Amino acid sequence: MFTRSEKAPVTPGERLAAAVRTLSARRTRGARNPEGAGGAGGTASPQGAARSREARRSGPPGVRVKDLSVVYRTSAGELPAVSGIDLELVPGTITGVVGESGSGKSTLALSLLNAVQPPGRIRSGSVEIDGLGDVVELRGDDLRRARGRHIGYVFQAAQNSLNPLKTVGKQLLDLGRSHDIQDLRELVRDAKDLLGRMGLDGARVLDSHQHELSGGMRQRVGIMFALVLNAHLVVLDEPTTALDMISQATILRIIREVHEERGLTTLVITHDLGVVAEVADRLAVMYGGRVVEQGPTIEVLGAPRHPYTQGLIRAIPRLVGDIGEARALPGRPPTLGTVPSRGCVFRERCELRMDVCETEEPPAVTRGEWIVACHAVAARHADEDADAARAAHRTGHAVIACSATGADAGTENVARAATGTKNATGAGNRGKNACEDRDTVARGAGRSAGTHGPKEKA
Amino acid sequence: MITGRGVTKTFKQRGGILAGREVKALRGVDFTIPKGGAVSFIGESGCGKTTLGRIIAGLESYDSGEIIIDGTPMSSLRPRQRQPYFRRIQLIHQDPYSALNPTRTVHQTLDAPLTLRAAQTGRSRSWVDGRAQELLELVGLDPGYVLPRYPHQLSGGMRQRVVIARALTVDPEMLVADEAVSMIDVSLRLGILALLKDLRERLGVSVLFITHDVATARYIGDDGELYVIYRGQVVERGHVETIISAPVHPYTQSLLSAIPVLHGLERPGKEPVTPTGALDESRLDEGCLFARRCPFRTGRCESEQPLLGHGGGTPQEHACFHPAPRNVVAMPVGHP
Repeated sequence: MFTRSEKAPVTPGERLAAAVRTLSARRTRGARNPEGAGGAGGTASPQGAARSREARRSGPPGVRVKDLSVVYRTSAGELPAVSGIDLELVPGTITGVVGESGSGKSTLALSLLNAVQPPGRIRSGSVEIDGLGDVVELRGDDLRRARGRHIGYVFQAAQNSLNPLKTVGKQLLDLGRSHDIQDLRELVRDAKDLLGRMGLDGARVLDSHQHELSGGMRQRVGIMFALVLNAHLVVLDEPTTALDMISQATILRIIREVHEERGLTTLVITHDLGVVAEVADRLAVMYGGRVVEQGPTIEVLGAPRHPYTQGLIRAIPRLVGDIGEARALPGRPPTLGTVPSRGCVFRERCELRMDVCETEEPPAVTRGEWIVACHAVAARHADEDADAARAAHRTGHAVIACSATGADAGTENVARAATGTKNATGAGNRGKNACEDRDTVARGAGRSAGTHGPKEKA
Repeated sequence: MITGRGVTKTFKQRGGILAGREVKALRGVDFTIPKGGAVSFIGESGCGKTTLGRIIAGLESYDSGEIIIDGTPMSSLRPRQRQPYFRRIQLIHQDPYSALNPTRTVHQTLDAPLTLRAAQTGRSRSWVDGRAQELLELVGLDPGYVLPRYPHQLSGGMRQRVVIARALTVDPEMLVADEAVSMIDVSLRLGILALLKDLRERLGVSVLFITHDVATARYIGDDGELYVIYRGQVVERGHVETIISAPVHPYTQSLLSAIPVLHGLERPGKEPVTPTGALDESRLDEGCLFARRCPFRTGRCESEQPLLGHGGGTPQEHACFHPAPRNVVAMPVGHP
């Protein structure tokens, strides 16, 4: 029977440190550090500083998804999981994509890495990432290096993305080697820093197998893997599913803090509107493979315009208020096979349905940063524009105030703070009424709810 | 009516490096589920709420304590004699995907228990088909569409309704819904909750709702009781609305503070409580079990164990030496 002290490497992390020593000795003999800043050994961390300097220089990347369509081959032919998506991730912001199962949100996330697996394929469109170009065009080794180095991906159910047979540290070394990291000690140190930053004991975690970690810890390990190669674009697919409330709150706080500290562009994919509300600056709502509404989170939640977003918000059980107000959306979300091939994808469950919804794809109505794809909203806006033109003529007042509310963190905070003020409270109220009273919305009287941003109010 | 007195359960790790390690899943829990009533258990994963649900459904043994169903203590009966009691309590699992046999159509799924039921009650074969249709209509499904279909041809919400219909085949007096909506699409969740509420009101079925999402617990009924469970112990117990509006135990307050705020529609509570550490799995059982994560702990909390009661004159029962209602719940914007 072995006691702990009889084993060769004893303290947590020592086994790993030993492995790193042999490996980096092997590496440094051949190649010098590419950054050339520090020595080979990495005693303090001059390269670390250089690396973070470089990171700051490069800054968070912007992402532009244009007209993206992804299809899956089935016995019934190629069916679109995602069609004609336009989405921009503004550098340095957190964008939340929310949708039910089958809405295409995970397919969209995979497309950002050009990782859609057969029988699926990207049929058309482009995903432009700053400093990387069009990801859809990348192939082979370029693509492999881009994943991890430029784009970090945190998988849904982190326990399934970790190797059960290897310690977290071993997997970290694998990652380093496959990306030709010269200084693995530096990598391990970065990983420990990151884990420490997220409230974990880095040395202990690196020395653990995945079954020794709790769900919340595994999720943090997933985030560490996504960030340790210094990616500045991070995609998190359902980061808090299967976690309970307290762990979820912790992970969301960590996502927000790490995002700000490291200067990232972040995309969070989730089915839970609460998660998006908690972390995201901007929100995109997906349904049947399309983005039906997008805009600054507070404004979209405060005064949703698309009937699906309205129904979704109304369907969330809340802690306070009249229980009777919450109502389930009628019908059920479409699957790959049942998405209508023409017209509006939501019309089957929509209360504002019109004849034109059967045949025509809804036009994207843009108001500053707010984009809604709905015939009813478009019709309302046509009226509104006419009214507004008259009003503007009278008062000389700018019509579209939405553009005044930026999506950057600073402005967003202002907006968040502003929700507490009297004026903005009024705006929120009107928004709420607008989403409750559908007839009012349909008639266009709800226009005061959203067209004016909090900034103008405050 | 189902009553539990001092129910305990300890799991022992059998093999592997953790051999001999004990996990105290339940440390003496008292509960009462009235006939036709609604009770919710909430807590983090690992708090013992699912174990308690399984014990109540007769699927798990317990080490000590007593379960009393309609005045009959279960320990006085032999396992075979307990069966008719536990048949009246049906469990609805979290995952409707794995709860249904993928090789059986909905018709076959409902037919088997109904045939058995018909034999027990001396009903005819024709009753079985009629009853299957009746049950599907009761749970809000179209029998003509659903009966010939396999589970994979149905959506998550429909599958969960089929699971509920199957549970109803044996005329249960109580449904134990263990995270029954957490895997259902958001837009359909409320439908399932409304169905459970409706079954309560129309059939007088009592509902035990096990969840980590406090908000859903409200939807089972406004007369509902809430049990907040932490590390196998009830730490707060009372009326759902009372606990949500004025929670006094710091653990309940942390749970409620952790619920995401819909910024734009709501503003966060003024005094959110964040636990000072992660779930403490240590075997230290001294004093208050929550003390090591509690931001308000005092010396007394670390040495003495608080007992469930109305200390401090609170309307709900709690196990805390320093009960203080705090404003932790997000309020709708514009709410006074």
